[in-house]
Amino acid sequence: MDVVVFAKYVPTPEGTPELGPDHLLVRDGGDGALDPGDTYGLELGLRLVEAHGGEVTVVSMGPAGAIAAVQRALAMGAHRGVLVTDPALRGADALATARVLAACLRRRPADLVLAGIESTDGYTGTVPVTVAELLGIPSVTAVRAVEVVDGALRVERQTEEGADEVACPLPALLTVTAGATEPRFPSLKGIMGAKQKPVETLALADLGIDVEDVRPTQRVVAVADAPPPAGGEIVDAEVGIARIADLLVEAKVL
Amino acid sequence: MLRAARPIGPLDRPGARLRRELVQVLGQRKLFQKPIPGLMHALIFWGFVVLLPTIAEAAVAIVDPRARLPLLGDAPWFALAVDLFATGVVVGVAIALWIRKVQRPDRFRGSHLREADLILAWILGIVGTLLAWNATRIALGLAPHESSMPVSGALARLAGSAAEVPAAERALVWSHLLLVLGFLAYLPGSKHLHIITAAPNVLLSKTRPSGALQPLRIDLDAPEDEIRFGAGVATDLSRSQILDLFTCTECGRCQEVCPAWATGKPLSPKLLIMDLRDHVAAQAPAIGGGGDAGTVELQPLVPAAVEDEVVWDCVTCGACVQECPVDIEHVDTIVDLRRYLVMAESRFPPEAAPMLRGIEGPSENPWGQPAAERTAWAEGLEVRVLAPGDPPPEWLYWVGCAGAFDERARATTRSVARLLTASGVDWAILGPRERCTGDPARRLGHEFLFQNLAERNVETLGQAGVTKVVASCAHCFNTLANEYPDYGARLEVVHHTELLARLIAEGRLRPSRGAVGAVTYHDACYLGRHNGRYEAPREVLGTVATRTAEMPRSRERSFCCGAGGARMWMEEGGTARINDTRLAEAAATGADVVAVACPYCLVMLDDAARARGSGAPRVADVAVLLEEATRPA
Ligand code: SF4
Ligand code: SF4
Repeated sequence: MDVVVFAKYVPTPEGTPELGPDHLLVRDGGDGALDPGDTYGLELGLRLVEAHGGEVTVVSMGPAGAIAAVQRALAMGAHRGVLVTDPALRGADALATARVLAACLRRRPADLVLAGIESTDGYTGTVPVTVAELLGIPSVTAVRAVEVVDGALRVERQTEEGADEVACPLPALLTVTAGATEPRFPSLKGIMGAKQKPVETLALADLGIDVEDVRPTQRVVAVADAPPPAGGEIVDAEVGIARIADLLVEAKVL
Repeated sequence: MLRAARPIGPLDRPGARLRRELVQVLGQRKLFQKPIPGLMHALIFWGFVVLLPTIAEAAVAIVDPRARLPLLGDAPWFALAVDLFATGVVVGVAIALWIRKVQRPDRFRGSHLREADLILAWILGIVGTLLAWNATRIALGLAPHESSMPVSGALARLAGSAAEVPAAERALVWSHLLLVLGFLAYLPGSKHLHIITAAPNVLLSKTRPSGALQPLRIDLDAPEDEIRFGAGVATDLSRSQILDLFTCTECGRCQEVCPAWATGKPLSPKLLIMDLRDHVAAQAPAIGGGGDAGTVELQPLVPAAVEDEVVWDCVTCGACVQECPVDIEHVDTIVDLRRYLVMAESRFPPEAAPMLRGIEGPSENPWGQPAAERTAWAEGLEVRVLAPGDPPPEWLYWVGCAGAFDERARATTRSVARLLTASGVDWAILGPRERCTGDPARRLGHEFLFQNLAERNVETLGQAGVTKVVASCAHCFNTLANEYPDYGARLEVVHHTELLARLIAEGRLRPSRGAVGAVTYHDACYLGRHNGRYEAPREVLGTVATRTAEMPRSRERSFCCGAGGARMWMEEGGTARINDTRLAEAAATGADVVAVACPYCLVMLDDAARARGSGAPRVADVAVLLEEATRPA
């Protein structure tokens, strides 16, 4: 079973992200990492190929520095990597990103595509399902467990009340919840071995994509700081269990 | 086997090693940590040392019953010594049998009991025949110093002048010599090999502080087959580690003090050493003994010799090493096993992964909290944060990650800060530039992460121009003081209890006695046993408590809180929790307060106190108690 995992290179929460004059994030500052949200899907994918054979290919789109995210995924155990990087993709929106990723999958089809629910920088949460739509394959969101039974998937899907069990044919795309599994910590051998694994770096032309098709359809005109959260109450845990319970009752959570 | 193992470098500090050899081997110091078994062993050991020349005497006597040893054979004092020490051995064996047959301590569980009985019987045979032989010689007038041999003399009088005495003399000298030779032949395959290996093993054990692990330099740019990740197979063990295995006497002293074993976990340091020994012995043909180790497939040490869980159960408290009479270094070997599992295979309890990710990630602390939050505890206090280029303070306060991020530990940090300021000390913190020292990563086996952090922390400290550091966390203290010198640090490091004790002695802090009730102090492994800092916290407590009580297990024999060795970030199995066990011991002293000097101990014991509920003693750091007693009324 061949699995593709999407991996995004995101600024680390530690750095101070810089915005360029066009209000777009300066992405190539080197202060980035593999999005932690993507590691859960990667872990599920690695476990599936360990059990059923096949390979995990990690696919990323981003600046040249995004190779760090691909390398990290390879160190964790992915078998090969693809990085799409092209100056024309700067500021690409969710639809453009989905088109690029879908093109990668057409070029090298997979049985299963895994992604995080949303990125920890953009938070649109729309790219994976758009890819599925473009490819015409089924998608299941918010997955917390997956099994392969008789060549199809049995998927546990997180809901507000609990979980749904969903059956789904292959090929398919799943978005995986954070915390679905404990992503493995790469071994040093893995980190060293990652340098020897095959990585393809592609430009738009390699994927046969016209620059016009990925031109951003939106433009950021202004940026403002988020207002500080209003209200809220800090309760000292030492004394405040009862107070917290009251607040939860007030908020009708309990 | 030893040849195939990793060679060890030249020995440092020959003087210290020689002294240790005298005190520990000849003086039997560590054996006397348990007085009665110590006496038992010393009687047998000293007896054998003194009796060695008599083997030669017996060998000569086979051919010429009248022959005597040169010098010694003519000395009445030697005859007396032989007589008395041989009797001592008999007494020693009797004590040993009493311990094993009547007392039956649990520490022998898993040891080879029959083998031990056989050896004791053998020793008794050797010494018994010696005494009896001497008796017959006296009876025959062959011994010149009859009056110097009270015990043999008494035996001789029993024999009288029976007609069988000459024949008995021959029979005894033969059986004595055969028993000795048989014993020598039996030795190599038995646990009694320690009589040969113990002395060199003590010589080779490390002279570094026990809390300092042996560095394992990892250079990722080196050719792959040159990088070592720790101990994966038998040949990855060093010669001194292999010697350790074959020196174990199976006495179980280590097992008896091990907090993991005491709380029903599968780890026993004794069984670990025995299992590794049996494994290495079984692999010896595969190793080839001749050093062509590359040609055979070796079995992985984990799980072929020891299970995974055993490797992860250790809190690296060092109680086993402290207790071991032959200086076996369990902790270094366990960490070497961990190193291989973590760095080569990424195989470790999954719940520890967030800790490693936090340390590795941009935040560089096990909590994964942003570095900017490192000063959150200082809100409302006047604290100087060293910016690059600032003049260095006299004392750098190394807060530590727990002290910066854990709510309970922050109380300690705040108390230390206020006390330092109140006594007019010139101090500052690194704030966001401080990183984890790397202790949890190192003790989990991730030497590479540790090495990275150590190098960068040493660089930051050097750039800041700092020379004196006061640390709050026992683990930070140990790492800064004992392990960072390997990475180029030249620092004077003290623990906050030491600095506070000094300030009290100098009259710069004036606590009022009796402010905090009855206190018992829990020695942190990495402050106490690994670093010998027992007095300072007790001095401070002496100035504030109405009464201090010691727990049965304290100072170098203190019992771990359960958090060391990166166990803080792992779930605990077994039949009991280490922290509950320790808190119960503290509560039994009747103290109102359990004083600690390490944030890990604080969290573990306070968790145990909360689980116990009302009536449990309060758990607080020495600094917090001191501040309470020092506050202007
Ligand atoms: S260091 Fe402590 S926990 Fe580890 S084996 Fe020794 S006694 Fe047991
Ligand atoms: S390791 Fe040391 S203390 Fe433990 S059983 Fe062996 S000799 Fe005794």
